[in-house]
Amino acid sequence: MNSKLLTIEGVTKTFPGVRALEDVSFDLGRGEIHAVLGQNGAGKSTLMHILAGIVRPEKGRILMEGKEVQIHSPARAQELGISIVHQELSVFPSRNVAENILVGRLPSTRLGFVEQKVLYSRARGFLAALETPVHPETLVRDLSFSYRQLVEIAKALSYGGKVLILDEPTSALNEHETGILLRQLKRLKDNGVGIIYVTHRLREIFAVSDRITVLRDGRVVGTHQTAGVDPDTVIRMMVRRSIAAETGPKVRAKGKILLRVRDLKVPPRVYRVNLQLHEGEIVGLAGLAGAGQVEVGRAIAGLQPYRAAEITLKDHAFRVRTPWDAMRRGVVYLPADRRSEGLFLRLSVQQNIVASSLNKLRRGPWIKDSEARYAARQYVESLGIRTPSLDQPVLKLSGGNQQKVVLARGLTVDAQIFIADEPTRGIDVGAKEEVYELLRRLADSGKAILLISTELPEILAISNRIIVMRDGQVAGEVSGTAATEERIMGMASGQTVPAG
Amino acid sequence: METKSILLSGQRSQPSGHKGWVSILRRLLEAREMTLLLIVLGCVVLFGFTVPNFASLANVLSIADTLVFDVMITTGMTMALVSGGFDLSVGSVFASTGVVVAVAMVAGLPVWLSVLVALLSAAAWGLLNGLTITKIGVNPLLTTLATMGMARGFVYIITEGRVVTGFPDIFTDPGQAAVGGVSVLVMIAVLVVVTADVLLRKSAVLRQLYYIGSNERAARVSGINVERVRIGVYVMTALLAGLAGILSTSKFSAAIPLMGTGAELKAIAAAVIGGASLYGGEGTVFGATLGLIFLSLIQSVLAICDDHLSFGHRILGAGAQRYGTRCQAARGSGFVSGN
Repeated sequence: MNSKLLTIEGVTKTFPGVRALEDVSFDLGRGEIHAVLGQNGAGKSTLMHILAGIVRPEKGRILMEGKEVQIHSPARAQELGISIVHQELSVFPSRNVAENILVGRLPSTRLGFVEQKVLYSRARGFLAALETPVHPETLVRDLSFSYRQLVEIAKALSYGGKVLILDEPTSALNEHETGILLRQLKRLKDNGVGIIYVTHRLREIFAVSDRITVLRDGRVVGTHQTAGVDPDTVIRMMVRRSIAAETGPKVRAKGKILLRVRDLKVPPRVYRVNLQLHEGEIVGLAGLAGAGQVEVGRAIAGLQPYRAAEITLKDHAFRVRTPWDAMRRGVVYLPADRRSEGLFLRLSVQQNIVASSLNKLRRGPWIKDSEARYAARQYVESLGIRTPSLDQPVLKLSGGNQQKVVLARGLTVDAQIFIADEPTRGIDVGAKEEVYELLRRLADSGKAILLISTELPEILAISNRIIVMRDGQVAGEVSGTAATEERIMGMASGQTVPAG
Repeated sequence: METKSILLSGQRSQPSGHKGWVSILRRLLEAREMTLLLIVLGCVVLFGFTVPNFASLANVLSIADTLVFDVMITTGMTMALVSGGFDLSVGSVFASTGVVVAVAMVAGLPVWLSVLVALLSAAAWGLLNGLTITKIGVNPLLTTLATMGMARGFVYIITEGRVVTGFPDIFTDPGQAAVGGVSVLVMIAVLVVVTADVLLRKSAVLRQLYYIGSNERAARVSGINVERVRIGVYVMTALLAGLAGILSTSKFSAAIPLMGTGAELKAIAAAVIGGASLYGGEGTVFGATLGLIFLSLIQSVLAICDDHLSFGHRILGAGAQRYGTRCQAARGSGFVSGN
């Protein structure tokens, strides 16, 4: 055990209503790259947060170089030499590279002035270790995303870390940038740093990792030497025998084509995307996080500028510049980020529900408040939104109920097409089922639904057809009945898996 | 039929759906403006008893008269604040419009045409603000600060810094007329406030301001044409300031280059006292008007109690709570005319 840098034994963590971790054991050696894989919600992030001192486990031991340690805070984790590069970068864009790397520890004179020379020379040292051409005086906002990521890694290393945790570092990087990052990881490994590499991307894992641990539903499915397994095996470990087969989608006779998208290009990463939506179908848009599904949905909804495309709705070509354009033509977007894009948090349930239908509730110039109230109450009752009153600020509702408010607002629009972006993110299982049921009902009434989701069971449970994206392009399409998690994961990660 | 079903479903799920004088009264008492209204009334009673000549009809009417222009400017400012923006250029646009109408008449244009040209010039300033903010993406602070300077500069260019006078009676009469002791201007101001308040509460178009002010991104996603509404708001604030400017020129039979200086800050202060939020999404015209009245009461009491009007200006920003001690001190020295 002495050669082990970090050992975790029997760690358990529960959150109310969320799968977290159950009896997880894991270890990391010096100079090892250990990949941690799993679907969304498998528990990867919770495990990393425990190591980073953000979350405390209920049971289990953590040993650092053979000695048991308590990681009760992020500061303690840093003392122990554990650094984490989070999925969302935490850089300060308007400060320069050196200040970002040494944030909180700027070298200063006795009078409290920053010692510029020392600052830059120290930063240069960390950057040189990563072989980056980045200059310490460059403002971080002028750097590309991959270099920002490298700045974050330099910062993580500057704490003198022995363990480096990377939580999906490449989800926003292109192939070239990923290449740079992976090369640097190998260098660090040669210097004896232990690296935990969390990702969905199989290709990268097989390129750099020594061992692979797969998590599923908060448990360790298995740990293998990378050289001893093939991608198919790993995919099978990741997916759970899906209950979707039983509750699965009905085969649908295809209706008329409602929406046709040809050659959609959304700079900088999405190109040559073609898709069609028929009346009465739910089309799942699957793929790894960051493969371009979100951009496609947002472009159609008028939320993201696009190029070189032809979008036709019922054979009428149109150009969408704003959500307002899209909505007038019958395309409604249900945003993934409820708080920033979906809700007017301080406004009441009623006001949130009727926000998209002010024009319909108008008599002359006036809003008919009685009708708005009536309409809002209809939706609250038919969607089962649990709120003490229509006047309750949505801020005070639970996540699931907030999501239903967003859906209710979408339903008030007389739309043909619904683009649902992660419609069940962050809501509990019961509420999820209700949302699925609602989407099915919408499709049954002849609407077309584009379901964007990185949760495969969700896509499988309700899609009639599934379009899989990889690296900004359509990687393939499968019918809802023929789809399995293995097949979709294979397409999404670029590993083809034979059917069956 | 429809009303019936509303009532039925109302009873089923919510007691708050009841209609009746009790609930109307309760809603009135719960309204945010109520607190301010009570404070204002309290001030009036307090000052009426403690400040000499405060309760005189002449004083009340003179307060009302001085409020007319600020009321219109504050109305526009409230709309801008509700939508999550604000407009620093209103004072300058007020002056610019008042001067344009004057210069046009002096140049020999008919009165109606001069008024029209002046209103168009006001709308143009608003359009400039709105387009710069929405299409170019400059933030409202810089944009309207720039317009504030430009409009004021424009005033000095076309007047060469002089007061413009000499208008036909048909233009100046309405600004100076009174019916039963109440000036026409006060009536116009009341009309503007009531109309704007009802529109902001009840009209579908202006309801959008609350959504945009609460969460602009969600408003976009909800299919609200955010840019168009924003441009409209800035045109509206400019038009209201412009209308006030024209009426001011009419009232004083003169267009003064300095007019409206500082009006923007007073309007913002009034609207915020009246319940508007600097972060958007909240506020009513009625509340803002009460806020303005409150500020004016304090200012007026200071003017009565103290022979330095500049002191009144200083304290307006510094904190109104000191009025009590000043009044006490001034009591012995007797009444001093404020203006």
